[in-house]
Amino acid sequence: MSTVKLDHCVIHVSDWKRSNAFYRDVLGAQLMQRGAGWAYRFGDIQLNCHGPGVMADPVARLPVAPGNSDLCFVWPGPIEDAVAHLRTHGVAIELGPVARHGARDAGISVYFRDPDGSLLEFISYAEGGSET
Amino acid sequence: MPNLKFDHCVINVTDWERSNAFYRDVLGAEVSKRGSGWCYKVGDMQINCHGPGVATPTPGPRVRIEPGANHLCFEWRGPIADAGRHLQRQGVPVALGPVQRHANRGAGTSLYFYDPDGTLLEFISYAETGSDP
Repeated sequence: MSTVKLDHCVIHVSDWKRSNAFYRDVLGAQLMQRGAGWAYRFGDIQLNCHGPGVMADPVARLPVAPGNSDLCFVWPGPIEDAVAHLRTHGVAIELGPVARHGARDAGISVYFRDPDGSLLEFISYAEGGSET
Repeated sequence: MPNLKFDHCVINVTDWERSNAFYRDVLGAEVSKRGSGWCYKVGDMQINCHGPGVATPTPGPRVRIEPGANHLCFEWRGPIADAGRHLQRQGVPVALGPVQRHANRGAGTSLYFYDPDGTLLEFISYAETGSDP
């Protein structure tokens, strides 16, 4: 089979204005108008959003709900910078820094939440292999 | 702020053997052991799995990720007809499509199908951008 690559995944937001600001400021996403709603672009991958006014078809057996996603992004630098960045934006850190294994093996992660309660993670491989 | 890159997302599976075979054969994922469970590596991103024997991790999302509660789309590099044939060979029913969709790289043509637990999956091909399904 031909090699596939992730194009997008779906999250569900309950308040466009609040989530647009969060994903733009905290995650650095490029906001893309998409029908009646928005998508959050990270280079060649994006989060498509279900949300107020958006009718999706088809949907997962259990439609994606606000607060039921768990997504991780690579922070391209030391994890301390990610912590400082979250602090600057007033985002509470749920856990971390902790040693984790992600797509590129050993890294250090911090966990936080989007405004609907989905779990987000920044993983830094810059210090890969070191224990916290 | 620095440019972030997607690393992984999480799904929940109810039967490792069934899902491992599905993600390996239908998505071409590299199936890797991860603790007492498995994860599916697709290119430079990966799908981490909750499943039997894997303790519910802490922290977790506010709303638990149930089996069948995700929607993931993968770019199919080639004509969508090839993706349709691939699904047919694998015995995977197409839920919808081919249909025109707009995704990360603009206009494309998509096929929708489900993983064994009901998570919605999508192949999008940008190869025929602009053509009608």
